Amino acid sequence: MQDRVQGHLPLKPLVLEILLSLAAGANHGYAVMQGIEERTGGTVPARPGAFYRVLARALDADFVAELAEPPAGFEGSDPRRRYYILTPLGREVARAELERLEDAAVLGRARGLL
Amino acid sequence: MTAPELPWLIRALLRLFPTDFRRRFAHEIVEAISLRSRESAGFDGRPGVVFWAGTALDILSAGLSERSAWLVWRLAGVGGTLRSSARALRRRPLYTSVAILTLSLGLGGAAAMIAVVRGVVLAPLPYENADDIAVVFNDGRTARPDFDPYWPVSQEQYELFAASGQTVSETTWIGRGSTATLLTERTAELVDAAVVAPNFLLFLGATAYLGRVFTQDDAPEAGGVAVISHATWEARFASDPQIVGRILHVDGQDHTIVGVLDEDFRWYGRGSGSQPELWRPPSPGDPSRGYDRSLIVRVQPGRSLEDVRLEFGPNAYEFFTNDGFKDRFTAADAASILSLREHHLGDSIRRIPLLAGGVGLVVLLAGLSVGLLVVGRMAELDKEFDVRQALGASGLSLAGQVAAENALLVFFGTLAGLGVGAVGLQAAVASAPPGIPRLENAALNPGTVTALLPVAGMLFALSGLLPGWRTYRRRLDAAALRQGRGLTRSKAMPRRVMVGTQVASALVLLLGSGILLRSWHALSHQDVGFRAEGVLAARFQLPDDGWTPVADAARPPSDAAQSEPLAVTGSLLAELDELEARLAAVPGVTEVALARHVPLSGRYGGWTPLTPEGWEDRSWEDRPHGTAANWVTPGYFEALGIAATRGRLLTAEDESPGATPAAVVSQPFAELFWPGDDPIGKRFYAYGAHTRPDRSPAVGQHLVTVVGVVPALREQALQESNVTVFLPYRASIAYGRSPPRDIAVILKTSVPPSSLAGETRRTVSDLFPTQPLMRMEPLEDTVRGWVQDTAFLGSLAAAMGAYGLLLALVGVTGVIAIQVNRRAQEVGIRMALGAGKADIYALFGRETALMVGTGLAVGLAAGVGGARLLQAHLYGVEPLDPWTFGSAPIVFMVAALLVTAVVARRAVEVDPTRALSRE
Repeated sequence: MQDRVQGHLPLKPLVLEILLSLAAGANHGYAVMQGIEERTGGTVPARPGAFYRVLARALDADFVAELAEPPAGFEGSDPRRRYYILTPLGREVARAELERLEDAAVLGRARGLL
Repeated sequence: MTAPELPWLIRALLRLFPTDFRRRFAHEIVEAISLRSRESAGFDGRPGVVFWAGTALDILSAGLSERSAWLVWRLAGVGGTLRSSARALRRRPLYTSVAILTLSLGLGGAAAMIAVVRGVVLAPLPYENADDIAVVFNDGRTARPDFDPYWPVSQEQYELFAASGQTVSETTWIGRGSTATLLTERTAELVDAAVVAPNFLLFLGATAYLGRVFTQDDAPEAGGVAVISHATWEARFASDPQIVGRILHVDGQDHTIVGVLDEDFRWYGRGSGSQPELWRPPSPGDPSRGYDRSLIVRVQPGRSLEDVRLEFGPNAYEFFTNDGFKDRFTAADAASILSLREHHLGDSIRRIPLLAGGVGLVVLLAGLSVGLLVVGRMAELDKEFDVRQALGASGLSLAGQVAAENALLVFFGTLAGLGVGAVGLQAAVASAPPGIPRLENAALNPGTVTALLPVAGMLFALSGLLPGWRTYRRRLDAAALRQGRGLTRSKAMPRRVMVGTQVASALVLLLGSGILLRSWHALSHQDVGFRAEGVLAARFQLPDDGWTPVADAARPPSDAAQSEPLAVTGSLLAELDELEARLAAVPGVTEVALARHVPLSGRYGGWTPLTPEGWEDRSWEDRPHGTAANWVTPGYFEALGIAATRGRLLTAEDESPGATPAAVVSQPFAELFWPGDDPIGKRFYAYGAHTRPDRSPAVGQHLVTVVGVVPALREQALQESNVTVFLPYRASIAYGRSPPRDIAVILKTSVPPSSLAGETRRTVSDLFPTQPLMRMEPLEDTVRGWVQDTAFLGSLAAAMGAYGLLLALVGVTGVIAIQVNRRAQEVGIRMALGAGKADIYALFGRETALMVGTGLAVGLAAGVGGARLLQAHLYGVEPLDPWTFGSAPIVFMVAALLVTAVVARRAVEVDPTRALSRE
């Protein structure tokens, strides 16, 4: 598992943001997209074209999986909407990336950058 | 949640995403865009331009990135297919190597051929605006049908032309090829030289590597100038950087070297491959040589070669008859005008379609052979594919594998073909007859490889894409049918057609090689009328100062019958006696002859007009032409083994001053001048330099008596006997107005002739230190040179024919082997019912006979058409040679039946009960 995880680092900012969003629970694409734009204030742009490209890669890499049915709380919404959920691999990869960033933050602090 | 209509641009841009991506996400992207558009709507309830522009940019870049990532992924897929195909091929080394070898032979031939055509024919000529340059000759055929259509022009003609041409902007000329004696401090060498108009080099845009080229400003009276070729500068002057300004002693005159030409400058006489070493403008001391130059013109801008033909065709009479030759050129159309390209290529161009046709057939044969291999491999793959398809492989991916496998074969076949082509080209260039211009340009360069790609692509289409497509279709069928039997039966048919086509093409190659080989045989066994074995010949030029040429004015008046010998001053005659004596003393020399010409070493430089006694009043047209005169010492006949059929040969007596002028004539000469009469004692006028028909033949000429007749000789060309007269060598010096400076030494030896080369060279240079020997070679080699062209074409065609026969027989074997396999059961039944072995052989024999017979019939028909192309290369054999056309198909059929019998043995020898139990 560790090798599989390390091979994916570092993550692109948008991938990490998607994983962070889904860590809160399964959701549909548009909500994830909007959440990222709002949370980052546009620093990590999540325009539809770029967003779905990255989402497709995340799906191919098994960081994210598509739910067959709308998750609890979303029943009865637009049936064409697809819902995505974080996979165990996605969770590991996100954790590894965050630890990497944390190491960087620790180093930055030690050197007076932060 | 209804999405507002998206602008068309966004919808169009969405199509940039690959299909499967669109299928997965297009709906969500559209929804996201419309939701966002609503959020960013302004006061009017509609989003601004900025929003749409940003969205368009986003979709565009994401779509393009996704598409290229998809392409990369697909290519990786192709890579995977190629890798697995390579593994599949590695598992079948025999199949793979046979296919690659077959392809490489075909493609190698094609590569070499393309290189030759590109280098010799298509490569641009290395001159300024070369396409505007034309070369003009007299059309000799308008004077007499047997004359040269490319007869040089005279100085007078040149000047007329240069002054009056309306369709040409510039003119220049180059003299007929000549040699010059180059005298340096230590050595004297005879080199190929060109005398050209002062503007010749500038006209062609030639530039100097060192110094400068000569120009019109180097007026003749300014003293001789010359430029030398780059090769000569390197070879003879050791690349001396101080060469410019050096004085060369060329043909008795001093010439200053003003420059060295650029390395790539070339000029080819009509179809000649040799290059002059030295170039110089004419100098006042040059003897006038009459019709001695090729006229070169530059067509005016906006005019075409056709315009030049129009101007000088009808009006040529004006230009080409305006001197003493008026009554020779009687037709109006007296000019032959060639584009520079036609001029350079000369007759070599005739070989190109022949070679290209042969190579095309070889490529076809190779393609068909590989096609047959692939058809066999497909049958094998079909079984494997049935399984894989059942396991879920798509028809498309299986077809892709077939295409990939064959693409690999063609790729490696092409690589190997380039290797074969490089070797073949080298061998062909080395063994090609001399005189193919620009052959040194033929090379396997990127251009050649590019030109080969369509051929390889065609082979790939035939052997890769077609089977791939067929696989795809078959997979579609198979998916529906799941039952292969009904479909396999149709496969034998294309196989037979392919083998039949192979047989036809191979027969054409065999017929061509047969005819050429017969012609080669006829030429090499041609009775030349003399014996070349054990004879060494070499040439040199007599020095100018050996005698004083007798001026025209000093000649006695017209009383020709009084053959008054003219005074010869100097020591020349004594020196010739000394030369003969010293050469005879060389160990191994059994006979010494001096002559003006060596047999078969080139034309004697035009004809010598001779007038028999009593024909003085005949008009010029009625007099015999094409007679050749050779001046020989008596040893000539002995050295060459020529015996008199009537009368006697020339003797030392005939050579002495004051002797009655005597001549020995060849049989055709006697028949031409005195048909049905005894030629002995007959007389004709000779020894005059006059060639002008408006003068009486008696002026300045002497009557010569025929003393002997020798058989027909092939002195000038191997293909025809010429009308020859032999005159005593020393007498020609005594009588000749312009003494024959060219002299040949002919030695009959009791040892291998080439072993005496050094001693001969030393002996001659002791006596004539300033006069180098040239073109020394055994006479047998000289004779062999005449066969080279036919030998080259013949052996090339024979190689192609053998290759074709081999491939066709392999094809026949394959088809019969499949038949034997498939019909094993039938054979078993037949034999169980009492059929003998002979019946079974006959069964398969009929199969072969039908398949091969059809191919042979087609091949014969094609061969009849193709043989006409060979006409110009044939000697002593008709294009539709009955021997070749009769035997080649029989040989072919017998060979095919033999291999059939070998293959059918397997069916015959098998135990009927075992055959019956199969399947």
